[in-house]
Amino acid sequence: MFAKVTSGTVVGIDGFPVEVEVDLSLGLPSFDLVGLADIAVKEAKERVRAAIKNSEFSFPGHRIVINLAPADLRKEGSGFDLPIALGILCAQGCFGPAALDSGFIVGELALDGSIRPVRGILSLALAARDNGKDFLMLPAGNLSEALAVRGIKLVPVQHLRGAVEFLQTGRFPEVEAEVKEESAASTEVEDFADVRGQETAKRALEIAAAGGHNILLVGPPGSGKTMLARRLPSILPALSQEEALELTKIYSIAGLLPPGVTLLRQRPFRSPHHTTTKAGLVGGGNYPRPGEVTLAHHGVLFLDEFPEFHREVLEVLRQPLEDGKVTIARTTLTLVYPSRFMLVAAMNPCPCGFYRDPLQACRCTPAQIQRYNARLSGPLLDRIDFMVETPRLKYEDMTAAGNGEESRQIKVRVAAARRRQEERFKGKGLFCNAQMGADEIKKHCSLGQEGKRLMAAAVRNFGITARGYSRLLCVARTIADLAGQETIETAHLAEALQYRRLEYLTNQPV
Amino acid sequence: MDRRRLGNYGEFIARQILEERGYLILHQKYYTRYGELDLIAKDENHLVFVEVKTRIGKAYGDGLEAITKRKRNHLVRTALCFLQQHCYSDLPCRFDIIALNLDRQGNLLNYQLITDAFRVEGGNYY
Repeated sequence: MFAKVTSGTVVGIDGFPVEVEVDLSLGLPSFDLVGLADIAVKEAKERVRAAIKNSEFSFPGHRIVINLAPADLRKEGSGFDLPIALGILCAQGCFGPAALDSGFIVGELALDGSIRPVRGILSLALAARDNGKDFLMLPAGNLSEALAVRGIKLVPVQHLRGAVEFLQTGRFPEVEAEVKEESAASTEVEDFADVRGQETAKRALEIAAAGGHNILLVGPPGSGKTMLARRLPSILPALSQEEALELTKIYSIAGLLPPGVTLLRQRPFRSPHHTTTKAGLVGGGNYPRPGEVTLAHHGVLFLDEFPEFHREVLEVLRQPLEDGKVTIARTTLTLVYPSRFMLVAAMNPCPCGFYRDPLQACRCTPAQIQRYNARLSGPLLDRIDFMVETPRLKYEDMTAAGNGEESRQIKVRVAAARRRQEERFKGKGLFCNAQMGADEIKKHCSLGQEGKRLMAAAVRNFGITARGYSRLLCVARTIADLAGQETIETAHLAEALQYRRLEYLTNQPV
Repeated sequence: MDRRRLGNYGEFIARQILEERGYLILHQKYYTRYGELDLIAKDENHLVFVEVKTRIGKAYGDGLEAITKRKRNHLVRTALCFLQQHCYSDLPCRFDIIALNLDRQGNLLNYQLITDAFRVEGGNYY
């Protein structure tokens, strides 16, 4: 008496099929589960037994052995309850084994036999389709997530009895194919028009948004750093279909998808507190979970009070900033989480916050200021393309009549610049200028005679590193894109240079 | 009544109760070097190993509480022994526990029968 059910588990952000084999044999009654299952899976035994009994099926008095294959893949999550229960019922002859052949089954069981939603349905649905399965049986509570996947029939089930009924009759239920997408405009209540003054910072944010560059805002408390950063999502372009699917997969695995939403449409804006840990930021843990950098994929990671983060926490950002992905190695497996985010950091120029302020005297000693700024390492600052000061607002600016430019208008310019970039990088797997590699820079960022002279002087006088040089060209490229020009003019280069004032932090004047 | 006589008396009562319920008793007091099975019976298509617990009064707690993990291990080992010596291996098996409560005069106050009371844990017995 044997039965086989196909289910799956999530590794990293991808789903992998797992065969659940059930064997019933005579002998003293026992229930064993083998095949590198984690605790949540091992506990399935008790849930399955209770659920079968409470659904008015009989639990067999046999020696039951469940095997999860491939045996060397670590299985996690509670989605194996339903396939195990159905395997046991099938091995008892409750329905024919052929009914299970073309299906992919996931679901967690409650003790009364009802079926609870699980995490990572989107990845599992993609795995089911790519393995040529005809239908995916899933918890009814997960239906909206799975609707984004085309090319596989969905069988939402609410109770173990319903699942068995479907396998006995083979009648597909009517699935309401209403794909609910998160509205792209719901959080655009925070508008750049609310921000008075700070035109330099606004311009820098616009360029950063257009090219996906990293930016650091430095200024005294109350000058509007946080306010500016929070308004950044309102000028970012909409997610493409490809980006949306990838992002939704991540949120589905993290269990952070808003209920009823099929596809995320807004770019994420993550602002972890500065007490966050390394694992919290880049992902990890005993059972690896995506961290903040992955949750900010295709969006914004905002680190307020930048120097207050633990130094080692900040240093782990180097790899994701450079490669756009995080690699987590464990003895049994290596995971890769995508993390192409735009870093927005905000900080005060010194511990008291008023260094270089025209009105209020700074209370810090030079040594204090130096220590404060030394928390940000050179390699980390080198990866930040913009450093912008947000000075204290003057009375006239604060009370100026009329609003600033609305986000809507800025967004139009940003979107136009992004379209030029898309055109340029078509088919290369790149989305914006900040992701350009050495080859692309060579190809798309050629300079004129005057531009070359300017760069030569800049490298000599400002101590710009090789990485700094190429990032500068990327920013200049974005400025040219915003201006709608194919070639990088000297003016674009000069503007890019003006934002790269990192020596202010690294060579602290005493 | 001493403990041995109480046990025998309990088994006698349990046997009557089970037979009324349609169990076919195959063995009473099956001894091996690993332990003892009070009753071995057939209930429809199951082979049933029955443990009988007899108590007078509640001073020492419920009879059911006396089935510890150690006791269960003894029962499992003994049952395996039985299966090897007899040809019942075409039947699915089950462990039942029956707990009897008696008064001082030895009259049955009530009883509790738990079918499929526990299962073998881990594959170490095979």
